[in-house]
Amino acid sequence: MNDTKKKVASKTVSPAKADPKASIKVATKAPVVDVAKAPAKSAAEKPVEKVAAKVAIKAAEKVVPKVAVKSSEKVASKAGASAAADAHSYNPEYLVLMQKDPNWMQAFWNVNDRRVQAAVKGGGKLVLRLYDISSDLTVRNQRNRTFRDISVPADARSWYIENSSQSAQHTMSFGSIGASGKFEAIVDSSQVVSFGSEGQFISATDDRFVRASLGGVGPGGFGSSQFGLSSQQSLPWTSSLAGSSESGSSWGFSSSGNWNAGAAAWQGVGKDFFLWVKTRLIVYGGTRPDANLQVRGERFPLNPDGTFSFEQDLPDSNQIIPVFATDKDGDFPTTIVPIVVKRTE
Amino acid sequence: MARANLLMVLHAHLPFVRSPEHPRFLEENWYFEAMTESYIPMLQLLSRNAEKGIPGALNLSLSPTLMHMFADAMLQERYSLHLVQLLELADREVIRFEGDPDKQQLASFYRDRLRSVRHAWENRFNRDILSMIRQLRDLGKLEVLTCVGTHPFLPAYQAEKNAIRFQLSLTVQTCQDLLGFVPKGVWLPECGYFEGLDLLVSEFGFEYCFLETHGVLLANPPPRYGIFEPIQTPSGLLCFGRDQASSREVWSRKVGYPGHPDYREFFKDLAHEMPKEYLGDYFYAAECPIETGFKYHRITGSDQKEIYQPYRALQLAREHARAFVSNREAQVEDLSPHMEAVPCILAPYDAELFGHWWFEGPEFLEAVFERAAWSKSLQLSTVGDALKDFKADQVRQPAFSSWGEGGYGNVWINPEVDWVYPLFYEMLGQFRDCFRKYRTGGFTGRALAQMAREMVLLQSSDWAFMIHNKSSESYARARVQEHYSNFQQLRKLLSSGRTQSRFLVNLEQKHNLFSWMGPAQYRLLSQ
Repeated sequence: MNDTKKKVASKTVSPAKADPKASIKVATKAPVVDVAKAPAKSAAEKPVEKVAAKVAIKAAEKVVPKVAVKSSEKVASKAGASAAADAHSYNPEYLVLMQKDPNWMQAFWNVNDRRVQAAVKGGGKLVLRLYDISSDLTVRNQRNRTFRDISVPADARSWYIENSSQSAQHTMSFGSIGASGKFEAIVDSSQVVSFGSEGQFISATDDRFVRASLGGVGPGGFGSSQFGLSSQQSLPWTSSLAGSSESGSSWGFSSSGNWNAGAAAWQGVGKDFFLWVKTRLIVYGGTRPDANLQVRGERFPLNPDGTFSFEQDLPDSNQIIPVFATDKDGDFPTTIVPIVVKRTE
Repeated sequence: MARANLLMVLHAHLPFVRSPEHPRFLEENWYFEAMTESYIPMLQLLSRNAEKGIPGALNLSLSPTLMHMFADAMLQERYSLHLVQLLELADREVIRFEGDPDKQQLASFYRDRLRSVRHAWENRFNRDILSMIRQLRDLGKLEVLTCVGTHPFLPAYQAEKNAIRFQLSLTVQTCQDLLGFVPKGVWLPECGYFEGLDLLVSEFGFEYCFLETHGVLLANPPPRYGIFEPIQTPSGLLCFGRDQASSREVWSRKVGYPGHPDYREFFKDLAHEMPKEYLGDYFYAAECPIETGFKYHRITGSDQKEIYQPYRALQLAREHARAFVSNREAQVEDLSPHMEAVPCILAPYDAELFGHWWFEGPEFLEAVFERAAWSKSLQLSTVGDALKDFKADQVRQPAFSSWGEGGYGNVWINPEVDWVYPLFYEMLGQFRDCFRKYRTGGFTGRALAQMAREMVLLQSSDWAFMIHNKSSESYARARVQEHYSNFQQLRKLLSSGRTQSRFLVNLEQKHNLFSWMGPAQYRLLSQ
């Protein structure tokens, strides 16, 4: 479903039920992150790490409370006291790891309170142990497993965990580390593939197909290097992505381009000869100065007198340049589509 | 050179809403609005195209929940009554505006349209939308695709593959039961994809699906031609990536066509302007007015909304359609010389955008068909046609992605909604326990089947979406709680040893989708 659906009737016949979040308590302790065998981070990464750690604490504080348990109890109580009692007569244990986005995963779990109490008895520390099993696909052979431990309080049922930068295959265990330093798992998760934060960047923005896929329309054409993303630029996807409801991308074009007209470098003047011929296309027109103009689906600025123009390379091709305009009130919608066929013999 | 394939994919989905216990239920109106403004007009336009011989086809994804609602006799009957009520209101509106020719013309415009919709519904479609869809498919105007079960956001269930398999099995069975065939293409709810999902989807015989742009662009290894040809995953599933330019032109709040000042204003409905005494009880749920679809203003571009002028807006929609197709032609002309394959442009939208949200959307679509009919460089193709000569050069793994805000799981996995998933995993563990303990036949089998229905209804991504976006939030929360509570009561029923239950009967009548649910289906969940 997408964002525009948000308008559907906003009230309901059904009586409003209690908000499960109303029962949320805020954990008082910040999570402690222990890293074991985690790759060392470069100095350049440090500032990012700091920020991320802050975010982690904030996010974790928000979700640490007994979300699942509390909401379950509330709902069950609605079904009647006896149903509530029955709902807890069989309380399945689980640990679920899910991926939220390239930067975060979420873990949530349900474990019998007595087992948790037994685990922390004598000073045991509760941890989520996140294994990277990418290089250990035989599973039975666990020697290559790297892991990191995330300390969690005894009343936590949910935790957000920062992703590593690389995509990886993970499993997780919830358990305790006793005084001897030995880890005892209480419950294990299934395998999950994470999508590392590095994966959300792309560097090949001089690729005409990447640019065009992102909607790189402009008067310079999809393949033009003068508009759209600059080449060699690394962009996170969130900066250019259209949600299902909103294409917020605004990196379109400007009419004052940085022209570098096919200037094939020519050097040396010895006994030699050369000829090169290239073509450029100039598109120009005019309308009311306060009109709205679109070229190839993008807004295009008008000069103060209502004229507009742009030029672009004209390789052998068919160029179609839809121009759409309305007056300032949106009246008189008009589309004109110049089609230019260029070929060389 | 072969013409490029422009794939117009419309995803039709509504959450399962059906309340036989209430004669009139506010949220059922979502379905009636979508029928009147989107689904029926869309089928009407495709019928007209068939009659006129205009080439091209739409690709229409139908979610299993929507298919069950199409086929439901109670909802069919209620929709017929709904149209009668709307026409009565239209008559009153025409009388009310005597002396105000502009508004009276508009009221008459709505009345004429409603008459046409009712005629199509009662006389041409015989209240059977699915039959009409099959006819248009036979005429080559539609490729029917489907969606997954109750529309769960699948990356949230990556840890429990059998829960995903179960949803896929419900999809296949629904298609066999209600369509008479199983489509080759499947719409992944919210375009949600995670590495490995292709294996599960392929297990159930689906051959292709659709991803957000970066799901394809960030594939490993990267695609040859961006999103302009499908990629093949390790399981053999073909994935098409969304074209951002065609999405932006239609979806964008800033530059999208539907935001033009001449188009109809969505948010000013008669229901909010006239008192209950005039509208009548039918357009009220308790003290809450229910949308009528009678809207008299255009977007205008300011708070002082001006009167809507439908014929001017319809002309604008045709101009926008011309611009839309020309823009796609420009893409094709630019890219074709650099491709060894025929370019393919995926333009996917929610079906309800056309007509319900963007009132003039169906006219836009109709004009897109007419304009594309004489294009030399592209054609409106079915996905199947686009794949006829496609050969994958190598296998690629798409990236984790969705088409929601932010491009990943943030809309459906966040602190506002993350209390929902533990409920599901608790129910799953309890279901497995019950499956081991109780017979799958007779009364206990019926209770197990209903428990499975309540579990999958809780999984609909719609609830998390509404909570996150704070639209119909209380209803969404109530639905999650209702399915959880129903499940727990059924579990209690099983442990009581009773062999009759009014509660179970009522629930079977209310949440009656997947009526064939039995151990053959839910055994998957038990593993």
